[in-house]
Amino acid sequence: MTTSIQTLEPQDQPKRRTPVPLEPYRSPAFFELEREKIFRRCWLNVGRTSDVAEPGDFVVREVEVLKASVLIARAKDGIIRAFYNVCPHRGNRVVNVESGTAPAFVCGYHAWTFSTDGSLRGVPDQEMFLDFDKRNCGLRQISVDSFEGWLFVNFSDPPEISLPDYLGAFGDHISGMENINDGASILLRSHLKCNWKVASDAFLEGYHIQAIHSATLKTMYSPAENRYGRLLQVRRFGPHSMNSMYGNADHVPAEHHKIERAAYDPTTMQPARLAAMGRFMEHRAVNPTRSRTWSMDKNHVFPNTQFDFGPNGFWTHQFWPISVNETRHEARFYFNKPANARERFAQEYQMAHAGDIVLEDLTNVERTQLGIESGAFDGMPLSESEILIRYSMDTVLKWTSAETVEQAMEGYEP
Amino acid sequence: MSTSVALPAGFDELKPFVSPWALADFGARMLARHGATMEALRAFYDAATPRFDDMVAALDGYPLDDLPPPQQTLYNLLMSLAHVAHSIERHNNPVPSGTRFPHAMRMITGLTPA
Repeated sequence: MTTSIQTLEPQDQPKRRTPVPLEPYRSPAFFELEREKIFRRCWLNVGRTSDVAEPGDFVVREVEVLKASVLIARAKDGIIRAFYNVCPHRGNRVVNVESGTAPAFVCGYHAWTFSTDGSLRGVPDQEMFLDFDKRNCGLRQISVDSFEGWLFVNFSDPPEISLPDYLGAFGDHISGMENINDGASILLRSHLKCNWKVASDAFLEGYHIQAIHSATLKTMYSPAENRYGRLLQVRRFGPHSMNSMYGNADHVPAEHHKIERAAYDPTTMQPARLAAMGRFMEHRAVNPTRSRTWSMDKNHVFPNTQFDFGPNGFWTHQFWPISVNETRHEARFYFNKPANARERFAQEYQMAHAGDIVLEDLTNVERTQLGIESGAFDGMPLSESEILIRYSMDTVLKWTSAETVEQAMEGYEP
Repeated sequence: MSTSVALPAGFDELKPFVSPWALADFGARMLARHGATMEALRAFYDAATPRFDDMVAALDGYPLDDLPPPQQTLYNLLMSLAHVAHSIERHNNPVPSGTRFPHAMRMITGLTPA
């Protein structure tokens, strides 16, 4: 849907655009459908392979919508595996920290010990277990796979689709992307009283920037020549989609913003860092229209993950459903190892800014959920600039009514 | 984390700000800034901003993940300035308008070094 003009304008031919339904945001019955038809069947992003970089590294990821705690570990053989964080003995939770490095996992209840490949290694007083084979009592595995360093799990046993097929043309779009940030990721987490899609929608469009982010983003993203955040490009990749967002090429910090100027001074940037940013910008999926007036790209990885691309690399947003009107939001940002205090300061400044932006978005979503639940309206008339919300709901409705994953992966209109 | 107020030589006028602002990680700095009064934010911003280049220079040559205590204190102060600047330069308010403190957003894992 690219055009030859700078931003996407309403077409001369009137398009049929029916309002997007609100019932999926407030119906407990629909939430149950999403639980089984979406979250149990899709590949779900749970971070990056670098989260478990070395043998013995592990992380625990909660997936409340499936009542699952997922233990992800890289074993001595170098292979990453995912397990239900549940002891095969009496169902206790095995690992009670979010991440770490360990030679083995020990259940706190009766000290059953598991290797990092999930096999059961030690049972205290084992001879008192009759008709018992340890080989049948390891941690229960969950399908796990990775693509370009992005880690995914699938709760179907076995998955109805492979990860490469699930990502499809979107996988082609991002293939070969370099992670130019070699430091640890920073994680901001919030619990929100709203449906997971209300939160996700808030991050899928830039139309709100001129109002919600007027002090944090407006001059950069919605300047006078594109006040309402019209998009540079929109694309659909089956269940996934992207938009490329406008940016003010001539933005400079105001004269009296002394610290902002100090934090963004390109003359103090390390040459290796500038080179890495240059390489990132060359990737086909970053500023795909090669526009001078570009800020970032938003990639919706169905169902609940967004990969964002900017000049400094990528960052992610995830929206984990807890109930029809409760969500855990997680924003992960990636930074390179700073060369000096000035660079480390710039990172702290950028992260403080990112935190403010997330806070502006999240403060609003609970008000939106209440309005949706009031029943005052049944649908949302959407601007073309909000089209990723339309695509997202179309995909949600398709998956919740598709009997098989094969059916759910078909027939997406471009 | 050292509770000493000591800063490297030449930063005496910043000593009153060590106790409230020389904080150990992003999460603590973010919450302190969001929860502060404009008076406190402005006092720290006005004292620290003219010394920004000096603070950065005083940390040159030290490994950031293994700073001696006076430099660590200075580093923690400098990192808080990165947060406080947004309240003063952008928002004219401790938190962005339309948002409030306390809020439920938390840093779970932070930048390295902290």
